[in-house]
Order: sequence, then C-alpha cells, then structure tokens
Amino acid sequence: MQSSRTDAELLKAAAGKDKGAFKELMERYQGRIYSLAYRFSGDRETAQELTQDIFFKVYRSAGRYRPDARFFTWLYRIAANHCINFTKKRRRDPLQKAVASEDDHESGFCLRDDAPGIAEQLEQRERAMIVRSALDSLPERQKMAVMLLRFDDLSYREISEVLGCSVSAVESLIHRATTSLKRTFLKRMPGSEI
Amino acid sequence: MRCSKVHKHIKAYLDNELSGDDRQRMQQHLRTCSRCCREAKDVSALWDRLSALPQEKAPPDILPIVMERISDYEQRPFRGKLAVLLTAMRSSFATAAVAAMLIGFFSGFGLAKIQSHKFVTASMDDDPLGLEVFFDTPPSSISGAYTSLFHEEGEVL
Repeated sequence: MQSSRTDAELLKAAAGKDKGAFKELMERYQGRIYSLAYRFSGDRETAQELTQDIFFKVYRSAGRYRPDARFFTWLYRIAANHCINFTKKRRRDPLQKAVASEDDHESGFCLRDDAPGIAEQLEQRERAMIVRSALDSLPERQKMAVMLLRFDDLSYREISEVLGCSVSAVESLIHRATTSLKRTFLKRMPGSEI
Repeated sequence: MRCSKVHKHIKAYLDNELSGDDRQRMQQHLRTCSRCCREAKDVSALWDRLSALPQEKAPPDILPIVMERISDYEQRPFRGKLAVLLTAMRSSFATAAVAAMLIGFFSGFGLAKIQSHKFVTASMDDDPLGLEVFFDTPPSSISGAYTSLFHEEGEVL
C-alpha cells in the first residue's frame, strides 16, 4: 500500500537507508523510467538494464538531493543522462553496435496469431520500424528532447531542467529534430504524406 | 513575422509554449500564409506519427533486482569505492610512470648535451687535436716524435 508521503520525503527517508521508502518511490516511477529507457534504446533487455542502473544511481545519490529541485525533474535528469551516455558509449563500441542493430530489427513488435488483421499488424510493424530508425538517426540530446516532449508530456521548461539547458535551446533541439525527422520520413516513404 | 521564424517556432506554437505576443503574431501569420499553415499541419502530423512506437510495460523483476543490488551495496559499501580508488590509483601510477620516463629522457638528454658541450670546450682549449692519448708514447716512436714536435712549436698544426 502506498503512503501519503511526498516524493521528496520518501527520498529523504531513502537517504537514511529506509529501503521501504525507496521501494515505494520505485513503485511510483519505475513504469515511466522503464518506458523512457525502452523508447530511447528500442530494446527490452537494454531498457531493463538501464532502469536498474538508474534507480541504483538514484539510491546512491539520494543524500545529494536538494529539495529546491523537484524530485520528478531530478529523477528524469539522472535517467536522461544515463540513457544518453549509454547510447554514446554503445555507438563508439563496434561490437555493441552490431548486437544493437540486430536487436533493432525486432523493434519490440511481435505478430500475434490471435489478433485479427495480420496485414494490419505488418503495416503497423513497418511504421514502427520507420519511426524507430528515424529516431535513432537523431543525435542523443535531440532524441531525448523528442521523447520527453512527445511521450512524457514534459513542458519545454521541464525539458530544459532535465537536459540542463535553456528553454530556447530546447526549442532549437525540437526544431532541428523535427526537420531531421521530416527529411527521414520523406526519404523512407517517398511520395507519402507526412 | 517572417516565414523562416514561423517555421522555427511552429512546434512550440503547437505545444502552447509561446508567450502571448509571439502566439498572437504566429496566429496572425498563419491566417494569411497558406505555406506556413501547411507546414503547421505537416509538423503536427509528423509528431502524431511518432505514436507508432510500441509501448512496453516494465517487467515485474526490476524492483527485486534493484533492491538486491542495494542490499549487496549496503553490505559492502566500500567495494564500489575501492574499485574507483583502485582505478584512480592505476591511472595515476601509469601517469607517474610516463612522467618519470619523460623526465628521465629529457633530463638525460639535457645532461648529455651539457656534458658533451663541456668536453668539447675543454678539449678545444687544452688539446684541440686530441693528442693526449699519445703523450705516454716513447719519444723515439713516430707518435712520440709528433707530439714532442707539437709541444715545442706550441701551436696547432
């Protein structure tokens, strides 16, 4: 059962080695952080590993949290930095890159015999793969800004706090990402409407 | 407002992120510019298209794995710190070794330069032809005759 304690109170308790408090905090946010990691990496196993690392980092950094920052943006900042660094490292490692590109073919999409419309599922899968490759072609910070805006419903100010930049820099990241995505979609599906 | 500026801020406009004045200017422009109006629709459609990305629920075993990792960390809190310390020490040892090699190389090189300079200078002053090695030879030998000739004349041949 969840208590009525705020996130900041739970984190403060976690900093004092209260594992119950940390468990509660994790129950509140693990779904959102996992979704972010999954969308960012495009791979279940990687997302699971990233989520574990992020929460472990959160526990270890709990004592450094200052209540003047909102817990939500503080948590997202750790998550975003970890995901960005992980992807950068993976891009540099050719072996990891090869494994990742093999996983990417799955795109997290499984055909189900019980669901109607195999053709529709295939089309959906194709669309998902195009979106995935378009997002993967973006630089990490642009990709993260898109994820936070489109799927986590963060405002530009919140994204700027998470990414540690100004609101106008976020606007610029989004604008550049939009231009790149448009170009990629037109290239992958020539003649189709955006 | 110019079309290029509208294009740059169009997503922010669609996300209700523009301030009052900018928003009004954007609305005015979109009312009169069909090209920018089309761009706004395209951008909106493009962002809708991203929803094709599949959603995924967090697997149930993340929480127990993290809690186990935390327990392990609490039992051996210095393990992580020790690893960091060892890594730091390893890298500082390597740096120190490289620094020592460089210092050794350059100081040796410098010393050799000074010594050879001293040797050459000394040789040039006292024995410019390096005949010192023949000084102990008997005066009856060719080299003895040669060195005695040199000492008598007192000048460089």
